[in-house]
Amino acid sequence: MFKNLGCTFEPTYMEKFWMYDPRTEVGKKRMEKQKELLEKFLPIKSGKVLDIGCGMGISSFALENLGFEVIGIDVQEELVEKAKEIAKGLRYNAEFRVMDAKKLDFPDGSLDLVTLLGNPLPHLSIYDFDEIAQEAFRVLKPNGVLFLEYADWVRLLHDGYKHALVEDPFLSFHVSLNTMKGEVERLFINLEKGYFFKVKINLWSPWIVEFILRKAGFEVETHYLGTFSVVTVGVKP
Amino acid sequence: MFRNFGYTDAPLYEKTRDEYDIESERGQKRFRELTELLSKHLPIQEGKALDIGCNAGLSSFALEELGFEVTGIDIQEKTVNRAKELAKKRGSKAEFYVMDARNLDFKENTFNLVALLGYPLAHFSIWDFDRILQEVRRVLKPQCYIVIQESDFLWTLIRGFNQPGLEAEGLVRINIDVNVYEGYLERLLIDLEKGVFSRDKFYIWSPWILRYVLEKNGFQVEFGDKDLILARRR
Repeated sequence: MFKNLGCTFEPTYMEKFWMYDPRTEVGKKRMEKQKELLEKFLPIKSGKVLDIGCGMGISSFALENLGFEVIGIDVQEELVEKAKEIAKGLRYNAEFRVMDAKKLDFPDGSLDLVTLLGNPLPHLSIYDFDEIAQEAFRVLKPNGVLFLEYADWVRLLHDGYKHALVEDPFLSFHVSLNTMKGEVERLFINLEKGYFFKVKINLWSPWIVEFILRKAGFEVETHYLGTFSVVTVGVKP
Repeated sequence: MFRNFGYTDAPLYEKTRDEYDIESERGQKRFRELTELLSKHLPIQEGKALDIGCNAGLSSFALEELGFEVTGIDIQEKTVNRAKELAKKRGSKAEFYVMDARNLDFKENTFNLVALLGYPLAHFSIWDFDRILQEVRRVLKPQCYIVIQESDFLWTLIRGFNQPGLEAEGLVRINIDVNVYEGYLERLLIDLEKGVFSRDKFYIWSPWILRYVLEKNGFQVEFGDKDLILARRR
């Protein structure tokens, strides 16, 4: 009766496309929030930015609104195409490219800022993020900044991972914790449309993020706004 | 009424001293179990071994029993003295030193095996352990091994270790909170009989973090049975 979609993040994006579209009310609100976050914790105010995991451009446009010259990258081609189209419509200058953050196509020391906004860490394993941090360090100029926002999953698990979440259109709950891989598995059910799927979420917490960044060479500071919003800022000395 | 000892593990080790002493019944049993476990799982059984966090030497004597030439180190002077005393009594050739594992006073390429036995990682932050591994890498011979006995503490924590409990007879443990900046669980220990209380930091380790830090330091990692992790210097 219910269709099993397997292990995928896709429906969480597809069913909530409006959340990631910079033209919708929710999209605008998210853009405003990211702008506020950046204004509050960014030690620099202008320059060249690489926005990793740009999606349809919410974070990239927030950066442009602050006065940065922005290049957004994402591994999903459809989203990059959408972002380009939206940029044209809204008259933004931001450039968008399909690129893997583990192999950045930029020369050493060419950027002022690298950002990972909108909580992309669940998609990245500890090894993925290690490579990205090293690449970010390479492409940043001295005094360049790496800025990321993420959820503190160790805290979340510690405080009660068993709560079910009923959040239109999904019902979701914890299935398992795989500590060999550092992943949590969650089951999502869409009752109205009749399908279910699992997502694997990579676990992150400030001390692990900070370890990786410091090892890559960054000086690091973390701002804890809440379990779902931890900001860590790395500066290349 | 209760005296505050501040941040220390001392009351815990005082209370559970028997467990680490080969002359107690409990210690005898642990010695036999550990010897059997190591003889089954260690890929080498001879050469020079460094036993980090040796306490009163129980694990060092187990390694010696297998055929290693053993050096044990610990940061607690009291336990090292006890290990030396026990070595003399047993006619053991194992040597014991008070030493910080983050600063090993040995030459490069000295050891065939480095051991961290008896679940010691909770004492080390990710940064401590990273330093220790750099040192271990230096004193280990190429292609040689580090063996770590460790449980999955994050798993335990999430599965309900969150509740207060008895750490030993008359020793109450209450978990205060997790510190996610440094990755530890802050605990309150109350020794009801002695009328003292103290706090300690119990660092959170879990296989994926441990594997990552080991690999980052140039080790090839294998998770085995019974909480034994074997890593080879690449």
